[in-house]
Amino acid sequence: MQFKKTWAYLIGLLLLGCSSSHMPMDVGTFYKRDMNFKIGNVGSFNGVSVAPQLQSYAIQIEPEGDLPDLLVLRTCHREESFEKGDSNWLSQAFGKKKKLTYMYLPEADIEDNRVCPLRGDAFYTDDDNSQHSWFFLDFENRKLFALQSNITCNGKSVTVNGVGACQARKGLVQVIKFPEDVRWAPTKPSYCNDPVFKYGNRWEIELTLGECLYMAQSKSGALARFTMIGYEGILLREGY
Amino acid sequence: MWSGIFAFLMQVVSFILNRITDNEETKKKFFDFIRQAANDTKSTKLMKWGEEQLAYLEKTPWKSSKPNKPQ
Repeated sequence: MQFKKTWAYLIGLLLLGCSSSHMPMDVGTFYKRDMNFKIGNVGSFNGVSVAPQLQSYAIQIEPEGDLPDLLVLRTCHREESFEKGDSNWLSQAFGKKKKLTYMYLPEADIEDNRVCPLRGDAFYTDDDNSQHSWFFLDFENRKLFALQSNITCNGKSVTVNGVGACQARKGLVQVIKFPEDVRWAPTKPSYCNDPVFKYGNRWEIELTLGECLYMAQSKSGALARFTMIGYEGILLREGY
Repeated sequence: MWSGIFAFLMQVVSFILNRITDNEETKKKFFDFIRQAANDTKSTKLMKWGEEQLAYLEKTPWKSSKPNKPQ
């Protein structure tokens, strides 16, 4: 009798253990952009990046976990959405995970001549193993933004060819170094922290929550811009 | 024995109710996020901010942003 009772409790506990144990998400929280994606032969990226200037981009999107129920891609000009089951979803040759290859051809005089990054939002109705994820991809524009610099972002130092993007937790200090003297346009939006001069041509920016845009100009007129993204939450994905 | 069976059934019911509640919460959150994404104006904002910054740099004479005295 006691034996059966114990088994009943054990099975019950096992069933409870199978119920949802994922990390709760909050709509109001600005999460780290951490969706994986690849651009043709350019390379693999995670979350936030800048692509070199190309005529077109074959962007392979690889959201964490399972296939999302909805993927929304958006620029300053277009919004495209893909639902599970669309023919655009391509099965990967190996394994069960699926990917979406999106051919992005920036529209002339709209998407290629202004601040117009591509964003990706992946949404899940059932997030036991997968949760929403995002990416932010900006593009170099040598005609408009040609001022080179060096950015040390979240511990990594990279050369910026006119267009830079940096993501780290809000409040963390990032470094931008120019080869020459610059002036800054007013920071946008105005509540974002301004760049702080340190020495030489080194500037530091304490990240504000969300997206802030910074634009610098050398005395010769060359421009550089930086999108600095400060997040407040990281999503932990069980099993990935 | 009956108490054991009763306890087991209670656990099953509790499990099913948990799953239903979780599902509803997950779906609600999914649509909350969709609504948020639908109202998202970040792309347009960045574009406008960029235009404003460019306009400022075009119309204002160049002057270094360095303070007179190093900090």
